[in-house]
Amino acid sequence: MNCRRGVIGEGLLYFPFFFIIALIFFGIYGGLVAYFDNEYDYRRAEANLLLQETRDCFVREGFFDLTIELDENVFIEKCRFSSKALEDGEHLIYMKNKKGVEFSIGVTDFKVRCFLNARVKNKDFPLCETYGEDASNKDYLIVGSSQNSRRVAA
Amino acid sequence: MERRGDTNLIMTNIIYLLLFIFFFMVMFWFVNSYSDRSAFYEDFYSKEIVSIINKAEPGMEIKIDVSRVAVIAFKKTKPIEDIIYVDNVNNQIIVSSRLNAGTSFGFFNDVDIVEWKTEGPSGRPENTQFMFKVKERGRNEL
Repeated sequence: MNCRRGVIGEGLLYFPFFFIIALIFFGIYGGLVAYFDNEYDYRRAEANLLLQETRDCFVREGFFDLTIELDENVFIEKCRFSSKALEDGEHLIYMKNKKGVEFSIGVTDFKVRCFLNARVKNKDFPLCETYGEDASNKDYLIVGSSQNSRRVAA
Repeated sequence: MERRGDTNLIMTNIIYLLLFIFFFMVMFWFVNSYSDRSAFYEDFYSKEIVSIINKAEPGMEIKIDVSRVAVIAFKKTKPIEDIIYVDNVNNQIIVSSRLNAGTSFGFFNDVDIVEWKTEGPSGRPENTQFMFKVKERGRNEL
């Protein structure tokens, strides 16, 4: 009789144990959702804005008509972009004009990563915007951003 | 012999329950500290401010309402004037509603943000505004 009571008590001790396991799971999940999941995706908006600024600058400065290679410093100065921002590993500006002259600043691999299916859900991938057509005798511009906000000490 | 066993069992259960309560309180504090969406609003405002800076032209003076993040910061005893910080060297905007932590985002427009300040009327967080001027950057970095 005594022995049976002990078994019941010992069995009941599993209840708080499983409760704690569930609490750990939901606690961590809730914490992660509250902390990380609500970030709003700015990659598309930034790519749009960067494309608009780049296209306007290329038209204004006549870079689409160049027959010689475009110098990076000239591009930065004329288009008034921050070289630090464009070379931070989270941006790409690539241009190929109708005369076959190419210019690129930033992560060249974005030309591939921009078209991967994972790009929409995975915020580490870039989202890109294009202008024109990637064909001979056509102006083509592709601009991408994979920039996300960072937690910092403040 | 049997009594000593009972005492040990009770002590084990008490320690077990105390640990359980402690763990529950820590977890509750952790989740609750983020339930005010401070991380979300830091992220939101850093991106919105950067978006405006990227479109801005030198000579502009801009005011942005940042009262949502100011209210959160006020509750966490963070001074309102320290909510937003501009790092012109690295082209970063840092928004912070918590003590010792914040969220940063970079702008690509090659301008300097000067005379920036965050102010609320009479020190209250409601209607807090972030004000700044956009200035042409010196070209000596090239």
